[in-house]
Amino acid sequence: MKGQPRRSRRSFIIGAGQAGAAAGLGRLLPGAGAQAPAIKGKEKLIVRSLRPEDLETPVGLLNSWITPNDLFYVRHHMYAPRVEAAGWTVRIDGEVERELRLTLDELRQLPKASVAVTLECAGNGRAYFDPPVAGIQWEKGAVGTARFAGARLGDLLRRAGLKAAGKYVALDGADKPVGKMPDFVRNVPLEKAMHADTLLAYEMNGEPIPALHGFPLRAIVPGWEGAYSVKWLEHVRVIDREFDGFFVKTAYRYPTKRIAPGASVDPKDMAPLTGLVVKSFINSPLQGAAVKAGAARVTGFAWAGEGHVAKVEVSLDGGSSWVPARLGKERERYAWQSFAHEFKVAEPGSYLLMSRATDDRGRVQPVAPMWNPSGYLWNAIDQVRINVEA
Amino acid sequence: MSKLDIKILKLCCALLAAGAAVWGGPPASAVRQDLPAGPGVETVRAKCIGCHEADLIVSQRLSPAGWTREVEKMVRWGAVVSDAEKEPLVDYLSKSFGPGAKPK
Repeated sequence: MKGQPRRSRRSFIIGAGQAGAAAGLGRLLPGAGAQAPAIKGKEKLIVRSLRPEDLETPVGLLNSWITPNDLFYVRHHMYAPRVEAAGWTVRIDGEVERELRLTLDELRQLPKASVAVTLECAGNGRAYFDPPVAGIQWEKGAVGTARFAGARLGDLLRRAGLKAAGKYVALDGADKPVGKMPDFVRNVPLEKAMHADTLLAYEMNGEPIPALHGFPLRAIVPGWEGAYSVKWLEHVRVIDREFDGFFVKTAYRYPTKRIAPGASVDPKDMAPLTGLVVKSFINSPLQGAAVKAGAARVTGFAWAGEGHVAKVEVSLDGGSSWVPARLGKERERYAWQSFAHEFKVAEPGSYLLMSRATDDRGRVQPVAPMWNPSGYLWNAIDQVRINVEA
Repeated sequence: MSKLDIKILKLCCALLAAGAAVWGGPPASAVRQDLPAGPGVETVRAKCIGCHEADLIVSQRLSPAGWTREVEKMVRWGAVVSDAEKEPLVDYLSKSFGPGAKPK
């Protein structure tokens, strides 16, 4: 299915809905049993929501610096649209001197830029907040790193000619709201939109962007929470104020003040999320693993959005003492860094391994990330309990 | 069987066949799709599962206030839930998928 939009089950569901027979069909579909089927091409992922597709990568499979496309997590609010390359264009308009419309071939003729980016869903780790909050109950694996390539958004905006009134760039994809849902439109402040690393990407890990990841074109807003990187992009609009829509004005916002767990927050005390926070996770050993006494090794990844990972420390004793881990050689501004630490355990028993990253701004992973109404930015010190056997 | 019934049956067969063609085998793991019995479950089946699967509901652990907010949001977004259905629906969701419910 490389580059070929997948014929999704969704198109059949919609067809059924249009035929006026949608009510109750859910029960008759194969997905409605006790065990849901996998999404083709994503068989190794955890299905958090079958329809729309929200798929998480098991942390044990996040073991390479570049996450292969078939292991990359999937998150969208609406059904994945089926977009054909033929006849497709992206439109650039709003506060610009001249409206542009480009085909995929025309985009490919522009200077090509490439950037390795760790994308993470803002709600990754939501399942760990207490009290629980509504939303997809992501654990650790709504994150991955891919190399994206395409045209620079800034090059296109310069070509269109920015007017002085332009403050934000609204991004809209081909996904269509279900029922009376608001459309999924996001916006990027002009400065970030013009940054040389902000792309309109048509490649993911050297292939055309797969259908579930936004074929044929996806915005890539590096270092910022994943929802900025709008999939199936077809409309870029320069606007003079923040976009007035649910997914900008209500969703993807975080309290500006410290709040108590479970508290409600006045909307005026919420601000848009932007950069990802400092975070790490252990991908080996896995939670509950049995490990032979003797030499052992703990590995994982750490990232910090627009920041750089300065160090990762690990603890083998539940956080009583910490030792620095070695950082991997692969290092790019917006991509995670691997870490590893070899250690010896002589005494059999139960051990709590931990990882704690610090970035170049001095931000450190907390013991308890602040609870917030939508369950964003979970970045607690990671922990994995293992059993060391004689 | 009426003509409409036959049409629906044919459509369902087509859907099942299409599903078999595009889906792979069982995933690494998935949230369960089965809804516990109880008053309100028919409303969930009839009014919620058209747009998303049960997994989205089954995985939540919300208080009655939290479920009320979700149901009201879904009604704003097009779920056709009558005022008379709302209370038993929130009650069912809160009892089945409250903060103290068994692990997901």
